[in-house]
Amino acid sequence: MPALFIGGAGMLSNADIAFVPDQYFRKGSVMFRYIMRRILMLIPVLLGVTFIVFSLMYITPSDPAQMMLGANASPAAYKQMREDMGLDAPFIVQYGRFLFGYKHPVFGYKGLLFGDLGRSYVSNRIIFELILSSFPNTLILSVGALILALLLGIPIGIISATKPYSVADMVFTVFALLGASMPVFWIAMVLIYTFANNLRIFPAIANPRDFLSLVLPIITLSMNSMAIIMRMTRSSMLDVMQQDYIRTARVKGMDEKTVVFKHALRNALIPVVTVAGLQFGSLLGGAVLTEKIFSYPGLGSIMVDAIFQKDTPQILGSVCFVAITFTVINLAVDILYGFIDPRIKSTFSTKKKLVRGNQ
Amino acid sequence: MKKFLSIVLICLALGGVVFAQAKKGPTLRNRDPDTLVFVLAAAPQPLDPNIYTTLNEAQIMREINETLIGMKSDNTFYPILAETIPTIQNGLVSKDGSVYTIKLRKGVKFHNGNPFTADDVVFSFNRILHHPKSSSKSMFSAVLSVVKVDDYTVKITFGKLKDPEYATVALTSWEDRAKYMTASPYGPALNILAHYCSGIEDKETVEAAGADYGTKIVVGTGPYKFVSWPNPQEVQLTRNEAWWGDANTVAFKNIVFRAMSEQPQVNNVLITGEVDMAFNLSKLDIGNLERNGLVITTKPGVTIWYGVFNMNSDLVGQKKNGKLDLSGQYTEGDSTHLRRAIFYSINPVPFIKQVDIFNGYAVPANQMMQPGFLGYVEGAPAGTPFAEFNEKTWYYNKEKAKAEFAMLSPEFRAKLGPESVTLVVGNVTDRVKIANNIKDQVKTTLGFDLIKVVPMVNAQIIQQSKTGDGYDMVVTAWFTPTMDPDYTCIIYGGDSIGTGMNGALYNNDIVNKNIQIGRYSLDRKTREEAYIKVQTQLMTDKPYFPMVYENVLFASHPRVGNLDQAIFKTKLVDIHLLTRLQ
Repeated sequence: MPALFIGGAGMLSNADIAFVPDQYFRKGSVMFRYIMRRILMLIPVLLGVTFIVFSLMYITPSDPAQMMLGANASPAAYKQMREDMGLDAPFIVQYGRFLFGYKHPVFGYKGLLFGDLGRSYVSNRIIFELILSSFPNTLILSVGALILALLLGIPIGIISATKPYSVADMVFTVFALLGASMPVFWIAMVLIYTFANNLRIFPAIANPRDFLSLVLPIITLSMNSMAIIMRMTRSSMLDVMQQDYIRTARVKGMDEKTVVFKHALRNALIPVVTVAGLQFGSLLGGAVLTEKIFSYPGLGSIMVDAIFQKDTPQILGSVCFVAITFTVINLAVDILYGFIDPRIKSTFSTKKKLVRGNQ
Repeated sequence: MKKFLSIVLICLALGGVVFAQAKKGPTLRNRDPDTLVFVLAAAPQPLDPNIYTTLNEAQIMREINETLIGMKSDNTFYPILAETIPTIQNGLVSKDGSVYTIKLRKGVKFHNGNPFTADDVVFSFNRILHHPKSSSKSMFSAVLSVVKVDDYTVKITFGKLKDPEYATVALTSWEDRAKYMTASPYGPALNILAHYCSGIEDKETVEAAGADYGTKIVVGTGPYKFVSWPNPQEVQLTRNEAWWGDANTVAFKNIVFRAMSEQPQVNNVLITGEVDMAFNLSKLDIGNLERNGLVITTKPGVTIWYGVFNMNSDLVGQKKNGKLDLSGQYTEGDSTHLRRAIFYSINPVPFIKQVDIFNGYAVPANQMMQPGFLGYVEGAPAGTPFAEFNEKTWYYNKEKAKAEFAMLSPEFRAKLGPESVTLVVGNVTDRVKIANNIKDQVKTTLGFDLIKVVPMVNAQIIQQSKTGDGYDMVVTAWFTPTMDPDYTCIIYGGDSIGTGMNGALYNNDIVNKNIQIGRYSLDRKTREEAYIKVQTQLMTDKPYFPMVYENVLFASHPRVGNLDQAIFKTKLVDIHLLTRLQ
């Protein structure tokens, strides 16, 4: 979440920041209602997500009872286990239990609505405890990757846009193309082969407590986002640089730095913020491969293990958690977008006045 | 031009530095030299041996929870928490062979200081057999009762169901066992007492910890004690300085277990020296590990890769008048000939050598029993089906295959279209590669693309194997952790039909009778003869095609020693037996 504001921080003057809580969040304001409406819309979205995920798990040919009992379980023990786990109930009953809870001395839980899906079939840990303990690790990786992507992507995008079709622009374009098209596992293996196996600079196993070990996974994870942000900044800057007010600024005798950074960049960054926000969401979900390769203890590793081991409650819990996170981040980006784009800001101010005028 | 040339030269120089094959050998990368880092193939389940059984947690638990009896890497038994090995000769096994009196070692304490007593033994066996989550119920199903005699003596009685019909009853208490079972000698008794699932747990601690036992609280009597489990992929242990077996003999002070499922990455971290030992290696790259100074240890294992012919299949099964023909003597029909034609078309030797499958770390299998086990038929005795086997070409015989194929009736032959025989296989790269090899071999030998390979998730294969619907053949593997033939017999025993393990639905009277003799006899010779009869019958009927015995393969840091004693055929390692060479 903090990384979102890095993109937007340059866009907000002190006056803007002071303006935000006072005017936008006042109860009854247009922005407040907009936010409330978006939050309410989350409910059907999340219900839909849980239904789809649960249905997929239900029709997937997996058998938690068999998995729990191991090889050569007698049919009697198997039947008993299915009853205990509540797997003999019809689909809709099982979905109801998933949302509202299941009563059983060993396999019981309070339900997703109460934030309790019981314990994992495989690890026997409390589902959401495990998710919440590993989520900060994924967050570290994703925030690191986004910061790196922004720190390199935006300046390179600016350079490319200010000197379009130059050698530097060509090189960066090729770099962006590679970054966007190289598979994550391949990047990871090349980095490990080079910097861990041969040069012995960085370790090949990542650990959230050791910064040095995070360098390779962060680079791996950020490559794709960096390429997208770079290309987005470039095209957005090119658009803005051809606007009349930039020409006017130049004609007025402003130096190129002021033109680029003060006038062009501020406007060009608006779409970049949106892309960065979406990228952050996909980084959280997309860290799976990177975490797996670097044996990093994040949410992605837990999800992959759960899928391989058919650990139904852990899969459901993790996927719902990622869905919620992704949706909330999207909402935050939308709200942030409203704040930093002066045109949207003025639209809301005008609407507010109109609403008040009608009362 | 000069500028361009200099850029090219700089790039070449950088590339040279980066991609130069550095043969540095594994270092310790600032690691604590007192800590051994051991790689597991997947995240372990809770460290609760009575309930959970996969190899990952077993590797950790065997250092924490000790069993009554142990098994050395040469398959001989030795007492651990028992004072002596019970035998009929020393009077600790009843004359009928059903009751084992176990004298417990005195003065042993759990890691938290609680004394180890008979109550803990009774408690542990009760959990194995009657805990709702226990996954080793079937392995220990022959235990009838475990009774405390005094604080340091328990009596374990083995038995069998009074009536096979009772197999449909779930036995959930000692009372149920007494009601439905009767005392009987049990051949694999010592093997299951040595199995890691019977590791003894502290009654008081387990009861107090509740559902958190195994993840947050773990207690045993073993050479290492639990420290923490900071994330699902990492478990930390430290030496139990008060170990009754003498902590001074344990070389490494700490162990860190790390779950890593990506095999190429396991090879990488072995080379960089970030870990000390692993078995889930990328076999393709073993040469590179050796070149980088890693020690490669390999020995015969207890995993057998085999194929299944579904006896319920119209194409390769054994039916008579539309019904399963499961008697010992059966009529040879079209499906019998097709089964044999496929059998003689297969040759596992090429894929044993294939670098991306076994890369030579396996041997061809001539029967459905692992070498070294009781009842394994040595050599190729004349007059038996084993005589057709040789190490270089397995049972492959092109002429026989074609002759059997030619015996198919025109009506049956007309039914066979391309890819009409369905071969299902677990959706794992190695397995699919083996299945595709079989498909190609059959196509080459018979000149007809008969087999369709269908990858499936394992759970679905088990489900379908319960009824024998939807497949003609399966390729799979079996692992025998007890080191006793009885556990391998699960694959083909008639009483396994419906469990999903006997995927052939093979139900032969001779085989069933001899499995029962082997299971419920203590006499070694009687057991051996019974198991030999089983193997002979199996290779006559050919409901299975044994393909490969896979070797155990480990790579380790050169500082780790005594590998031969510490590594077991089951892929488990007695880490407390390892030594430090550097």
